[in-house]
Amino acid sequence: MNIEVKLFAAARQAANQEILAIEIAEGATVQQLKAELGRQFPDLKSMLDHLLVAIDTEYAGEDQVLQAGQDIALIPPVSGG
Amino acid sequence: MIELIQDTIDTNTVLESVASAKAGAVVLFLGTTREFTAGRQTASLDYESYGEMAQRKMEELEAEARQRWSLIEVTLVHRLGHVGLGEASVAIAVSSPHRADAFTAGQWLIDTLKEIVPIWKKENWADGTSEWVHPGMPSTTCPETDRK
Repeated sequence: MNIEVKLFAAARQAANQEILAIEIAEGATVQQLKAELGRQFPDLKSMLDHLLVAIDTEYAGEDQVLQAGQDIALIPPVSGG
Repeated sequence: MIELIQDTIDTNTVLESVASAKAGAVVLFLGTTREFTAGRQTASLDYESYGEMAQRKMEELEAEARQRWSLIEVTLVHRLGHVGLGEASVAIAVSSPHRADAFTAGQWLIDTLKEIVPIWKKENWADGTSEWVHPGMPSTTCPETDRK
């Protein structure tokens, strides 16, 4: 299935894009999405271990299964305040 | 009141939003742009957020604070975009019948906001370089030209 992944801050800067389109297998988990992002977008690879994934504006676990139509975002370590 | 704004934080508006005749205490916290961090000079900061998620997380923080402490009003305001030295990037105001709850809740709110709300700051250093601040992640310094 095709999904879009929102990027922010250093991840957006590294990929030089605000949204990445990526194809992943049906039933893929967050962990598998991150591995696929690393393969397709080498500029993100060095930071993947530090990124969390949000699904529909909630932090997701590594084993959570992705579904088409969800709002997916990569969340680098936050630094607000 | 939960707000993500692009403009200067108006502290009077923030204080008015938590004013109440039931309150015996109001605590206001401002996070401001510091010029020197570990000896390195900052010229300004830029903030960006994942807006929908940041709004939701800030609402969750308010709800949790209200469960944990006896609070009357809670306001969280975070500024986005360019913030100059000495200016406030975040304001937290809490009113409560007694001061201990306002102090404790205010400290918890800013500490937890900094841990979980998807907002990021970019340091624009005085030497012309800039970098996104991502605690625990290797540095991404770059001689960027996209300074605002």
